[in-house]
Amino acid sequence: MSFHLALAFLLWRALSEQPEQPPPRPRPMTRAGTHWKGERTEPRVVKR
Amino acid sequence: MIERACASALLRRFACELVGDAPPAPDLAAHSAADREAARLAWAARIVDEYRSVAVFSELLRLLADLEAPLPVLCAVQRLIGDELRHTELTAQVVDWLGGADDLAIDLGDIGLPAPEPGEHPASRARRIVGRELVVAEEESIYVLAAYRDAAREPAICAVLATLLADEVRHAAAGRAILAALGGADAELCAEMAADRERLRALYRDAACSGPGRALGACIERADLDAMWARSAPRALGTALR
Repeated sequence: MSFHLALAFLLWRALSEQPEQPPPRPRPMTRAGTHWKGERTEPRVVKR
Repeated sequence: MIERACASALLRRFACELVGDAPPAPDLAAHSAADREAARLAWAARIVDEYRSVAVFSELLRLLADLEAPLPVLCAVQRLIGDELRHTELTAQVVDWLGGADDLAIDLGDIGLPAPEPGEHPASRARRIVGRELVVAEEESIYVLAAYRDAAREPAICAVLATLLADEVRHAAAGRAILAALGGADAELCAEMAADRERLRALYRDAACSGPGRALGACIERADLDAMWARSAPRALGTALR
């Protein structure tokens, strides 16, 4: 019984662990705007 | 994304006069797919950055026209808007070279500055746009463009970056002259400009983190930027490195 419990626990842990995601790379910029209060900042180029 | 083609031959002629003939598309097959893809996305983002300047400088021209600014000031800003439109088309051409933008959603809508703050006087708004967007932002982009241009190895890409750089040098110089013509910056605007400059440098520093596509103008390293910042004042930098 304890063997099955241990196995179930290990399986649950393996499945629930998310692989660590690297932080998104900052996009290369050559002409960044100054940020004005209220200016939209979300990405404007998105892959469809 | 704006339409770049038009059925009207007359309107196409206006665009041709402004943009000039499209440079021949280079053969980029020697670059890896990862490099080309990174560069495609980087150049697509540049379309947005250049087009934002079209919207921002257009607001500036409207403000200055209403304020009855001197003719040479209006002419200078009108020219800047044309330059930024040309940059928009140039960067879009580079995206075409790298595979096109059919699978990209490029949102250029409502890209201008937020509405003025309540009670903000048009003259103050105009000075803020000149100080922040022309004197600071254009000047800071000179260092970055020079770093990307020096890092790039593909001749056609280097040529586009060199064109952008030459124009930004002139824009920054024009910005200083226009700000002087408008009476200069007060203490509040000086502080705002200093904060902008610090923030932009931090932004550029964080974004200079190497990666794929260096030969195609898609990335630089921190050392590239540090070397450029250490080198010279922006006007001399643009002239000496051209």
